Amino acid sequence: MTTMGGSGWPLGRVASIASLGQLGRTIATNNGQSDAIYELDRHPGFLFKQYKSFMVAGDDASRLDGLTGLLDSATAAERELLGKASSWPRCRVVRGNETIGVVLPRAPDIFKTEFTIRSGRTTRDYLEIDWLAQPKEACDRRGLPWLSFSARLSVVRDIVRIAEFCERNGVVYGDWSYANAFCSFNQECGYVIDIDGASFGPRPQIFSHMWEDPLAGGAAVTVTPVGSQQPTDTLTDRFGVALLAARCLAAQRDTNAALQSLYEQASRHKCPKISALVRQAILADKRKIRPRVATLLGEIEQACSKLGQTGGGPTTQPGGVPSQPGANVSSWRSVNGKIGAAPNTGSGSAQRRPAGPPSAAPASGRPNPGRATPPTSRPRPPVPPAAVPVPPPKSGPEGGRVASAGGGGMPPPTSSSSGSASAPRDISAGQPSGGFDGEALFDCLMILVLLVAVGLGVWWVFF
Amino acid sequence: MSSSNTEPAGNVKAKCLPTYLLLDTSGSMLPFADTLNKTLDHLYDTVVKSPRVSEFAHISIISFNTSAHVVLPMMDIEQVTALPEVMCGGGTRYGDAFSLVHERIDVDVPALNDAGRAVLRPAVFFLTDGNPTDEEGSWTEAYSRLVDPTWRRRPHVITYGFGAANSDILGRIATKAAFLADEQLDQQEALAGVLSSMLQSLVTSARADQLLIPTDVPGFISVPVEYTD
Repeated sequence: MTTMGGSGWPLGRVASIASLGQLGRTIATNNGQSDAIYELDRHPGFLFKQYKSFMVAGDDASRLDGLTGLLDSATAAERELLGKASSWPRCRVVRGNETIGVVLPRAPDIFKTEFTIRSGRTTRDYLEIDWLAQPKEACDRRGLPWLSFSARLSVVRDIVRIAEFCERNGVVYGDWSYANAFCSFNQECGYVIDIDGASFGPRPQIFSHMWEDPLAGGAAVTVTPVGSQQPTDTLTDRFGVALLAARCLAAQRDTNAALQSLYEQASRHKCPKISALVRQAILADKRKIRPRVATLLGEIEQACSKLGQTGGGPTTQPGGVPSQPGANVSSWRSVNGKIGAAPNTGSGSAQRRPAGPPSAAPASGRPNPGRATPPTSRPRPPVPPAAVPVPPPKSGPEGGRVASAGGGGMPPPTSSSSGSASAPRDISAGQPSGGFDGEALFDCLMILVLLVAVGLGVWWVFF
Repeated sequence: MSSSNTEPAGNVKAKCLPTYLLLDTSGSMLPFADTLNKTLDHLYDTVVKSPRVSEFAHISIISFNTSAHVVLPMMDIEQVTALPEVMCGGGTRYGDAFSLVHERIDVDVPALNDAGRAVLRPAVFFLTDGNPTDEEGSWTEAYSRLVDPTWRRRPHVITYGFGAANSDILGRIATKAAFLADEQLDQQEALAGVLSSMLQSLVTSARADQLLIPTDVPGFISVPVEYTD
């Protein structure tokens, strides 16, 4: 049996709980709409997600049957996509006539990675996609590679492919956020989870802070109120998937900074339409003019074939030395392998100053020799015209990553977690200015050739 | 393309939940010190693997015995470079713990606001294995100040007790939920369960961008809460 390709599930699209056999290990409890998620010992690679009884609506059965039915009507290529890049539900689970859950494929192990945790030790777990939107220093601390733009594009392509399949089939996902996708930095691919909550046609809005559709319900509001019953539809999904793409492609969580960085990187990589389409999906003041996901996917596919799909990156040695005072503390355990002796101990109000272990030192940004490099010698292809004018977005008042700055009276972290100026750059793709990359070398060579030609011309005229 | 005149979409302040872990490190906790440190490691390991959780939940650890101490100031856990190795001894003075967390909230919340975060009402996870050794009037006064309805920054309090903890007192202190370890359960396991429960709360809360508390904790019985906010 396999979890790939949409095949491999033997029990049909509706199965009784008894037919699943003995439930295996519980891998999650009380998570969102689910009461628990179990492994299925008799069906390795599949999970049973048991819903909270009060969360099951009357029309869930037909909705879930519609979703699982798409596996049967999909083409072989689509089934392969759904199997490789999503946990598309396989079957509705019933007890008697009551829907109690769903069977999902477990995300493949390629989406797990080694995280460096404490003292250089590692632990293996799923890599959530918001690591793509993290600054390089954060990835360095966890021993994660730093992906090139083309590698990011490859990961995002998988996410957008699933979004496009949904849009084409009238499926509203409605919950695009960091929480619902994994990625593989090594294989440069993405994986969408929690699809069993999707619906056909508009559905109640799932409130997800920082991911709200500002135009939900047609009103130009900045923040959708909590508990809003504005429906989520395919137009909302266009916004959500574009926002996720922007943040992951640009390695920025802040929307302004992400759009700015994406504009620069996409221009540099000769795929400005991606930036233009994402920007239009996010900033359009009318929902109807948000571009179709298929249009965005087309540009991403084109850029991927042009750029190739290379990636990988350096790991950086952990940094930072702790020196936090504290009573009832006999010593300090390094979380990065560089700890020294126990700091002085303070107690009582006099020691209650907001001081603690210093922030992690900025990690070195050395490039990895094994890392993919951009093309440096091939002629640059002509630049495709942008679909819409793409002025560089302005940085707003929240243009930096102040959101993740340390709090609690602590001194500002020394690692670059605030300010758009410290935004990570894809060094394999060159710097926005002053960087020395393949394109800069190309430009230099062209100028040199031009100068020589002019010189020869002058020599020919005068001598 | 036309653009909205409003703030760019999705560009709102990131929410953050100031989370205080109040650990009883009195002498009676001595047999559990090892478990306590290991579970703190586990807490750290889990949170740092998920940026959305670590950005949402800023954690501070306060230990208390004969007095109370900030052993880990409020900060983004990504910035933590060392974890405290807690040791146990002394009495169990609840009052000092409540006073100190009150004091810290008044420092931490403005600092998080200044850092551009949308700060939610703080959450206090109170963990004890015994009864208070300070006088009733002393700790209850400090507690009343902490949960004073007129104080805008008053925290939600969730209590976990095991060993000799008193269910009545746990219920008096909690404002959201109180749990007491089943006596039949191995108390080391109970302690590990407490921190797992807290961790699960943070992970689930990060997804929902609001504090979500488990309705039940394996190995624990739910204690009626006397005061709810």
